[in-house]
Parts: sequence; structure tokens; C-alpha cells
Amino acid sequence: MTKQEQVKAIFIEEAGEIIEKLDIDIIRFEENCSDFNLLNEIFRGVHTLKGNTNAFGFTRLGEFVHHFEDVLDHYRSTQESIEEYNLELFVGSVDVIKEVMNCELDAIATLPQSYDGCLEKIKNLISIKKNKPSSSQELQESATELKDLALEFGLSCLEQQQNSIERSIKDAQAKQSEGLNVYKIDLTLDTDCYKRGFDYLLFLNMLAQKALLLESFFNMEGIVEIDSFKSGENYIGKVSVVVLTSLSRSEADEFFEFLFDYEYEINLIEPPVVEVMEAVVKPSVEVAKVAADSSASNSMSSKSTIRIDTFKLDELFDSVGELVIAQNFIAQNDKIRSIDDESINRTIETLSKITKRIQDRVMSLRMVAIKDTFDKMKRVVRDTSKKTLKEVNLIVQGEDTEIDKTMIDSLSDPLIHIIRNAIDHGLEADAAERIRVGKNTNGSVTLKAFHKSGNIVISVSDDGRGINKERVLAKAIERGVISGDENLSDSQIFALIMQPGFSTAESISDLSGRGVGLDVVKTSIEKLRGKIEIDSKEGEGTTFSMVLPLTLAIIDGMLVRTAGEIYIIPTLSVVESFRPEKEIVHVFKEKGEFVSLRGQYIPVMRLSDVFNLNAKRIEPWEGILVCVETEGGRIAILVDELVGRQQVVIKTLGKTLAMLKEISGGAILGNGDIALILNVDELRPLVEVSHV
Amino acid sequence: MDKNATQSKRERYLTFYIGNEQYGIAINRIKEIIAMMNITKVPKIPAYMRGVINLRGSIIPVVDTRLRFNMDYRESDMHTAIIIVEVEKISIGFIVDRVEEVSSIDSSSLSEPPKFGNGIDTDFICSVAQIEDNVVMILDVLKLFEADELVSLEQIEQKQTQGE
Repeated sequence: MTKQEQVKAIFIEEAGEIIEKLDIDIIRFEENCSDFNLLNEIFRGVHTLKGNTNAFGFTRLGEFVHHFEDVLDHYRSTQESIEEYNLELFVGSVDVIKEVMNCELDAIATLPQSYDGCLEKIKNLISIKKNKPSSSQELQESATELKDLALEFGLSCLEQQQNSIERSIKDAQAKQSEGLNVYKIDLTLDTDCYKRGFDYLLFLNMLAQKALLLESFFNMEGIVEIDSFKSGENYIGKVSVVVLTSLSRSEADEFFEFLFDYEYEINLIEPPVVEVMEAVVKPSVEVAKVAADSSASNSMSSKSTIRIDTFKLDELFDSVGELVIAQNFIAQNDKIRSIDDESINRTIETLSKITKRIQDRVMSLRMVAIKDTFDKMKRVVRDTSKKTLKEVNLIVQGEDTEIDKTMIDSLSDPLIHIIRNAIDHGLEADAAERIRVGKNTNGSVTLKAFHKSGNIVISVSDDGRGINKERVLAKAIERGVISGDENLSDSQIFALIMQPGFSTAESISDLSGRGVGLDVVKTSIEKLRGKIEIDSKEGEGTTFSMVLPLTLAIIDGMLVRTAGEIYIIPTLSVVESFRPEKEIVHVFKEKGEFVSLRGQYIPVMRLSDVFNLNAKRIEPWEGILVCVETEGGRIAILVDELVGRQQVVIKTLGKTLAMLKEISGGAILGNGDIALILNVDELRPLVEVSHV
Repeated sequence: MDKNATQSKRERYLTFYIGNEQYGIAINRIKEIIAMMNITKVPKIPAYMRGVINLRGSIIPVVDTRLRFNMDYRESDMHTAIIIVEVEKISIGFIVDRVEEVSSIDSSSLSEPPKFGNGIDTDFICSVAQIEDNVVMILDVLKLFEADELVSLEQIEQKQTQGE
């Protein structure tokens, strides 16, 4: 990768982040459109994006962003309240930015249809706004005054200008009173500063709003002849501004945060103190580096982070795993244990503590709060609610819950799907129907994340119609998913809606109900080693819960021994384990063993049969049955003994063995041995149960 | 400077024994050689795949080269070694009877493997070299990898996930 490509890759990643943030911020702004801090935030994002896009030749995006920025800037500086239809335009614009960015990345020549329309609307808006008299007349005046000043001093030589500046400072000091500061600000700008979005007059207007007195001195030496003058370039290299204002130093700095720090210098002119008795002698001109301040104020909202290649993290993770094994080896080594020396024992203990701590920290590196994902969902809810014309309140809980970073990325799509589903199908068709059943007109969707016994649960609940069991059953029979003879529990019936090709939606809508829906959600959650549970009460609502492991890298496993080998069964799927009484074990045709447990008949599965292991055949009542929940119903796995329960780091069995369905991976135990992790959903008892 | 060096390329090969015959693998594919260690059996895989080992925290599959070449199983002894070969970040261990040495073989002394009838598969042998009095059969590691059916299966699987 060349340097240029690297820089570009970084830009693309950054731009992606900015756009993602815009997406979230614009929705938040829509909820609370008087929050001008947020508008500023959005403006900053758009501004950065503009600079970046032009730098990398994404001109179409640059053009759009440029005009969008103008509009934002107008509202930002005038603090004018924003009309609702314009808000809609803003949200639409962020969409366009997103789409155009994709076009630029893939070098697609055709722009999205919405591009021209949206750009036109934005341009219109600007021209309307620009022609309207600005809210502060005073400002206009000062602006014209500034222009006059510029002319007046325009042709004066440098020395003369210097004198004028000093005079101006004296004037300002004469008017200075308690709480006011005099600053001399020197700007040094390149010819391309307009293209980066800096405009003197705009900036001086902004500053003038906060100032009691403002004088500016433009150095016109760089102005070229009229015929070689280019309108897009800046020829005024140096500008000095003397300003009397109540702004503090850091507040003044904020005005310049779009500039590089070498481009401006703010000097605080101390009042000509004579009568002050304190011995504190400050230099009359205080020069401070602005970069540190402004970056600090920028980063207030976001934590300081560092980007790490996940591959490196995985390596670190592996190494820590080895460290733990080595440390265990030392701690459990008989020879070392027999050494009767206080300091050695203590050192080993310290080592074990440190190792544990490192392990925990490394684990936590992968964890991020689910907040960002939830924020994205606000947008989904908003869009879906507009499209379906249903008023929806979104309630978000537990957004600080942390979850494995690699998991978060694959979680968005299932979540989007479930949320759309909840609004489109879950909620009643319209407000009238809701009123008829005695509910609030606005539907509500609750998005929740929480920990539950070593897992993370992310649930989406709606307060809509609930699932109609009869309709699901009828549909399932019609589609041939089930035969109709089965005696299914509620949860099994609900689970039917996640079967491939199943959709009970009466009409196929744009949003969901295309028949390829929930089964995709189900498989993607299963890929994350999680499962989906559906709970629903007719007339009251439906809850989809995604139960996920804390991290992809670790599972809570039950260690069992059979035929001399240790296997790991994910605790998530274990229902119970027990040693059966001889009386409850039955055999069908002398082959299919099953146990009757509280009225349920559960097939017994021998690992040695499934895996063709040569092992001494034990009777079920001599071993232990581990009852697990699988896709095909419950099965009882017969093992020789339970070894224990342990958190294990999942490793793939080398990519070459990935085809083994029954094994989802391996884990390295404390003694360095490898134990295989069973994928219980792929285990089938030899005698198939009727409904499988 | 050796004049030959400009005309022919010398490459280094790790040579080892399976039974009485000497084989070689280009050294650039070899990650390391380890002594025989505890192998965890994995069910439902071809018999020549002996299982998986824990190589300092990574789990990698191990192929018994004898069984792979349809030779008889032999109990491991003090000479038995596992050669870890890495191709595109995938490692596989190959069990061999005895590791011999690293020798430089001039590409001019490499010749085509003999051709047999249908019964004997020479797919894995890319050439035969003469080192002093010994004949060394140079194995094609990539073919071994591919032919273990596993890599190709994995590719299919990748295509499936992309398709979703």
C-alpha cells in the first residue's frame, strides 16, 4: 500500500465514522431542534468531511457537502429556529451524503436519484435565507463597517498599519472595564483557505457578535492585478484583528478551531495596570498555543481512543492464553510446590494474580458499549415509523452494556430487521385500532440490553397485537413447515415464524414480510453462538430476545468426559444434568434409548455412537445424562462423568477442520490438552424423533 | 562467486525419512519442527488426520504422512517428528519418521518424477533429486494442502458465507 493509499484508507474510515455520527446526531437534533450545540457538532462534522472529500477528489460529494454546510452555518450563526420541512431536508441530506459517499468509493458514475433534487432544495434554501434580512441588523452594519475599514487601510503600507493597530489597541484599552479582555489576533492564511471553508467576513461577523469593539486590518499587499485575480483564491495573507470582548481565552480559541494552529495567534493584551500592588508580573503579551486547548474542547464529548488492528488483538489474546497455561503449569507443578520457601510461594501467587488481571484487561479490550448500535436504531425506528405512518415511541434501556466488538458489527442487521418487524407487523395498523383496544395512540418499542447469567440479552419489545398462534399454526401447516399433528409448546409455535419461507404478513410491504426475514436473523444470531427467544401475549405485545455470549472468544462450558476424551458442552444450551434411575430409561427396538422425565420423553444420545469411538459401552444409569436444548428438541447426552464447569477460550480447529459440523471448535485446558467443543444443534440421536 | 549460481538456482530443502525413503520439502514453507506430542483425537475425520495439537496456544491439525501415502501405521518413537508447514496463514503438521537435515539442492539436479501406472499416485511429488548417493523425492506442499480436501472444502464454505 502506498503512502497515498494509506492516507486515503484512513480518510475513508474517518469519513465513514463522521457520516455515521451525522446520522445519529441529525436524529437527535430532530428530536430537539433547539439544541444548537448539537447543530454545531453536526456542522463541524460536515465541515471536516468537506475538507477531506475535496482533498481526495470526491468532488460530487464535496459539492453537496459544501452547500449543506452553508445551510447549517446559516442556522448555526443566526440561531434561527428550523422549520419542520427543512429538518426533513436535513435528514434527507445526510442520507444523500451516505449514498454519494458509497458511489464515490465504488467509483460509480451515476449518482443517487435524490442527489440533484436534494441539492436543488438546499441551494434554494440558502438563497432564500441569504436574501432575508439577518436577524441582527447591528451585525450587518458592523460588517459593512468592516468592509470600509478594509478599504480604508487597504492601500496603506505595513508600517502605517502597524501604527493603526497600536492606536486601535489603545482605543480598546480605554474602553476596557471589569470582565473584558482585549485580544490582538493575527491570522496568516494561504490562498486556499476559502476552499477549506474559511471566510473572513463570516468569521468576523461571528466574532463581532460577541464583541463590544472590533477592528480589523487587512494586509492588501498580496492582491494581484484584476485580470489574474481568481475568485476562489484568497490573496489577503495577513489580517490583524483587535477585539474588545467578554470572551475568555478558551472561548476565543473556539472561533478558530477550524484553522491550523500556525495560521492564527491570539494575544491577550493586558490592561495597562499601574495601581495593582500584587507582585504577580505577567508578560504583557501572553502567547498560548491554541492547539492544545481547542483539541481538548473538541475531545470533551468523545473519549480518547486508539485504533488497533483486531488481528493484533487476537494475537495478544492468544499470547495471554499461553501465559495463563504456563502460569497454571508452574502453580500446579509438584516439584515447585514441594519447595518449602515462603518467597517462592508468594512470587507464584503474585504471578497468578497478575496473569489473571492481564487476562481480564485483554478481554475487556474487545468490549464496547452497545450505545452506538442503539443510537443507529433510533434512525431505523424513525424511518420505519414514517414509512408505515405509525407513531412510535422508542424506549432505550441499558445502552451502557458492553459487548464484544466483533459481535456488534454483525448485530446491526438482525436488530434492524427485528425492529422493522416490530413496527410493521407487531404494532397495530393505525392509531384507531389501538384506541379500539384501549391503548395509547402511540405505539412503543423498547430496546433493552442487559446481562443475564453470563450472557448478554438484547431484547426488542413492542406493545402491539402479539402473535396470533392459530394463524401461525395454520400458516405453518399450509406452507408445509409442520404437519399439524405435533403437540407444540407456545415457544415452539413462536419459533415457527423464524423458519425459512415463513411470513404471516397479509401484504408484502416494502419494509418486511418478504419471506426472507426472520430466518436470516436467526442464522446470523446463531453464527454468533447466540439464540433468539420469542415471547408474546396476544393483544399485549411481543418480545424478541437475543441471548448472546459475552464475547465471541469465550464461552461458559461444561466439561464432560466420555471414552477417555474431554468434551465441552456450551452451558448456554444445557438444561440439566442428572444420573437417571434405571426405571426411567427405556429402549425402543433395543436401539433407541430414551428417558421419561417429568412427562417428557427425551432421546438419549451416545457420543461414542455419533463419533464412532471405540469405548466400553456403559448403561445410562452408570453415567450421567446431560440434557441439552437443541433446534430439534431436547436430547440427553450420555457421558461417563462431569469434569467441571469452566470459561474457555474458543479456538477454531485450524481452518482445515471447519467442516466438522458436530464440533464448533476447541479449547485449550489448563494442562495444555485440547478439548473439543460440541455443537449440540448438529448432534442427532441415532433414532430420529418423530418431529425432527 | 560460484559461476553456477548465476545459471541455476540453489534451493534449500528439509529432508526426512518415511520408512526407508528420503523426502524433501522446500524450507520456505516450513514454520518449525517439533517433537511428537500429545494429539487430541477428532472424530469423523479421515484416518490419516490424526487429530489436533496445541502448538503454543494455537490448535492445528496433524496429518500422519505414512497413512496419507497409504503406508502402514507405525508407533511413534524418539525420532518421530512433526513438521509444521504454513501456507497462507494456515498451519498443518505432518508426522514423519525421522528428520534428516537441510540440504541445498541445485535446481539442475532436479528431475521429473517417474511415471507409474494407474495404481500409484505421484501427485504429491514434484521432482526427484540426487544428493550424493541418495534419491530425495521433493514433495509439493501446496498439493498436499489442497489434496487434503480440507482447503477446498473451506473455500466452498467461504463462498457460501459470502452468498448469504
